[in-house]
Amino acid sequence: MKQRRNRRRPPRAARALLDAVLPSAWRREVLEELDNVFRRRWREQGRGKARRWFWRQALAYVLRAPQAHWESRPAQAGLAAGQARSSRAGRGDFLKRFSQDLRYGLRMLVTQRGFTLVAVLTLALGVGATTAFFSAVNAVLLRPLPYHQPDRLMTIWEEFIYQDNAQNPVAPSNFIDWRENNTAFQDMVAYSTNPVSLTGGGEPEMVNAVYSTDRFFEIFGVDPVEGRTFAPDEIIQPGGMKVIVISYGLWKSRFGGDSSVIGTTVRIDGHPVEIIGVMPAAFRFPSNATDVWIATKMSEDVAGQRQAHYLRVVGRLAQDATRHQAQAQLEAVAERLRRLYPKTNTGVDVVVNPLHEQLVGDLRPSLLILLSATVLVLLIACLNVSNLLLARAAARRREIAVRLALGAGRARIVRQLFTESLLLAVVGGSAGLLLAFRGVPALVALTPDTLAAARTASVDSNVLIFALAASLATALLFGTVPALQASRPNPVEALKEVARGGTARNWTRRALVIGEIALALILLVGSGLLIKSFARLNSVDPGFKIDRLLTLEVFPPYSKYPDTVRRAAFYDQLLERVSSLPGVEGAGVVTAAPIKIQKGHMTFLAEQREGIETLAATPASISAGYFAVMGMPLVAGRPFGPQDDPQAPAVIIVNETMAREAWPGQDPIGKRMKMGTQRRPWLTVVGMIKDIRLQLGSSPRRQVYLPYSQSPAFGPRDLVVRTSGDAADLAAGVRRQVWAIDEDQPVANIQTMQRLLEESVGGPRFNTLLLAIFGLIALVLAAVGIYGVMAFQIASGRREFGIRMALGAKRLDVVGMVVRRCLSTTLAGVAIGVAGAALLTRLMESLLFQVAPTDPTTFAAVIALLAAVALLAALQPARRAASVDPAEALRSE
Amino acid sequence: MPTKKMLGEFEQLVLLGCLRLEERACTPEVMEEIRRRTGRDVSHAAVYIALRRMEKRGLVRSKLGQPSPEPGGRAKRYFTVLPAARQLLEESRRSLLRMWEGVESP
Repeated sequence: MKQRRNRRRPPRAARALLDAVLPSAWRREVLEELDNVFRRRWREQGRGKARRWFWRQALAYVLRAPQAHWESRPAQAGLAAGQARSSRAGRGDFLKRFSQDLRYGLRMLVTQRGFTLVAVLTLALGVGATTAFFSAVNAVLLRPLPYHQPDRLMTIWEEFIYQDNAQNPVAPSNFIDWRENNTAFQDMVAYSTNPVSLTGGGEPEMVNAVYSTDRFFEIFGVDPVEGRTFAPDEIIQPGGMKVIVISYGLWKSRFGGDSSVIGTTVRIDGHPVEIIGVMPAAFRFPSNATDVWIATKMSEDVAGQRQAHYLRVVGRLAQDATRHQAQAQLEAVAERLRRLYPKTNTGVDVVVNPLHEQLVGDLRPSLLILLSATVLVLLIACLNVSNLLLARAAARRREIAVRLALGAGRARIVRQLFTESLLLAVVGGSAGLLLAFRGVPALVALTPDTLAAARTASVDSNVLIFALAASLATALLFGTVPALQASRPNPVEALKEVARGGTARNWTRRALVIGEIALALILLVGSGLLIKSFARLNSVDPGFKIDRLLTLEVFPPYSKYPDTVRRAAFYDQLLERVSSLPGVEGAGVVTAAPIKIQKGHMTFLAEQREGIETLAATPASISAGYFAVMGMPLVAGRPFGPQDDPQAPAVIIVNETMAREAWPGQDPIGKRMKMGTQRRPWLTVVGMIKDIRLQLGSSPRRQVYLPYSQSPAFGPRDLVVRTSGDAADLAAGVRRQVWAIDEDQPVANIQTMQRLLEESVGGPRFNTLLLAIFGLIALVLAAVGIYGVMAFQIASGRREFGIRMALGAKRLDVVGMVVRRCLSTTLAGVAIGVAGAALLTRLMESLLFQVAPTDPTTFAAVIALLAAVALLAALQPARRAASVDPAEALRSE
Repeated sequence: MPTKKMLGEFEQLVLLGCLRLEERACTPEVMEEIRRRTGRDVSHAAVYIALRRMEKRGLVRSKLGQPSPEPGGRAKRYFTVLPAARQLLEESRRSLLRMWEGVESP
């Protein structure tokens, strides 16, 4: 595979072009000869020269295509009957004329350089940009998952009817009941993810492990690239694990892609395990971050649980089952469970979703917006080309009329114009082809890491063909129809009409420009909204101090630090050591630092004067100094301190949102709540902290903080360090302090808060950038369209301007007239565009942050921009109109 | 219909190239030979189409040669100039020389 990629290959687009134009009898032979010479030239003259040479050869074949097709026909033996001979001659004449037309057309294109350049660029942008963007989008949204029959794979969730939560992780016991009581699924697996420490063969490392039930890989139908997957007898309970399968990424990064890794022993959370297999690079389930898969069997204890909801479930539909049958069967099971276990299962239903939908669900709105933008650009490009061709046809009506009057056949003239349009379409299409092949890698380089699937994008041939066909059809239609009209059988009429300056066609062309302006406005409003939203997103205050803050993951394994006391001792020691480093102003620990993915919600029961209010909130276990390190101001009460030890009364701190919603209009200090269920002890609120944003784009959520010394359920995972200098400089020093406590302790994801923030807006930045590029293309195309129409109107209205000036109109009057015409066209386009945009931007609502889809400032700015561009485009034609010499203009008619 | 007797200038170049190259006469070599001797950068399409056309007119004959020994090397089409073409070439040369007679080079 690698060797093939390294081979010296001619430009793909040129080769595709050759493939299309060469006669089939010659194709193989010519391509091989050209490839051979190409490789020699590459060796002798380098890549660039060789590629240019190959392109020249391809274009030479394109220009001689009719000749080549004629010559490649097998010669007929002897002279057959006269009929055969004459038909052959007729065919020969046709091809010869076609060849002539082609050359004549080529000369026309070269002479009218301005027109050709604009038309070719428009077509190239239309075809190239559309194909490149669509290919990238396609790779993410439409490409099937790299699993066996991926459309049969479903995700299955619990649905909490009373909490409006349709996708909740599943309790083990419910999973077992589902699996055993349906016929719609051929197989069903459950898994959970957890970071674990990996030691042995290098620095200790924190890796993301997937604990799954048996038959995990079988359900996806994917084989390992090295070794094997789990055998049934290897699936044992957690803690007793002995084998693991690793990801391609981990295999490459930690083990250098060495096959001998199979059979070696490493330690997961201190347990020795044997590596038995490596999965292919494309297999990254459930996420791109997955490093290790471990198969487990549920213990009796775990299997009986219906209260802890933490499993993810994937099922493969049986051969003839549908998603709806599966849903119905599982609903019946859920219904039965509700009756059998009212305590735990009241309000618990089930929901079956296709896996693919699940994975691209979040991206769907942004991808669909980009897709629509792509279609709009193609449409604008086609309108523009139509416009240009109509303008040219109008300008040539006189030439056509003269030729008809001199006796040229109608068919001959139509064929001539047809050939010219074809030539234009082919040249523009080829340039678009080139742009598409160049554009996709460029786009791939721009995609954020979260869109990993886009990295596999390549030019999509279906889209390319569609875009080429669209541009070809446009060029041929609008290149030939005017010719048909202009060459109507009465040349005298035609000549007269030309003299009057045909007005009917002007209307068609104005309509095209109006359409173009409307479409451009929609696109520009879309990109304007995204740009504004992105600016808002970047200027939002997260509620804590961002600069000079280092974050890293340090999570002591439970196997080594099983209880709260030992874990707290580890954190105490860690904070003491890190705080004493020179350049460190303070350090704290937290379950998950802001901006990072948060670990979901927990249920809190808030004590009120009458009864109890149940609220979901994001809990975090922190060190006493955490708020000070983060720069988060306390609004009321006190922070945690050394007095909050395991023996002291359990305390919590809530954020403003939580306080407001749990005890509206009351002082939260001294209030009590429970975490999880009624049986748990009361926790007393000792402080209220100002709201922060856990994600830049989302509003503050309910949060509850607990001191780590008192929270055995979930410990801190992230260390945050405030530094006096550049935070990144201290990374190595901090890591050394961790290893001074425990040399097997992994340290992961060392990053400055600044960087985390930038990465978190990578997706919005990408969307904004793409739509901004589209908007710019649309603007340029619209400007070209307006310029074309105005320039043509001026050119064909010379007589009118001449007469007006002869009758006393001043230059300024003439300029004013032209500008008014331009403005009326623009305003018509703007009016339609605003209506369209108001309808369409609603679709982008989910992508916008603190910006309404009908944001008046954006609309106003875009309208002003379009009007300014329109005026600018009309300026030069207006100046030309004003410089008409009345005597000259009148005489020339 | 143009007369089949006459050779165009380009055809002459291509045929002479073939004659010079003898048994090595294939399209890439003819292109290279024309470039080397006249400085004209001719395209594969021009040379190949001309050769195939002359083949139909009975001026050259072609056959696919042995695949070249390099990896991935394939057969090339080799062209042989037939006596009829040689005769036409000689005629063209004589006509030209006769026309040059008495014309002084500047």
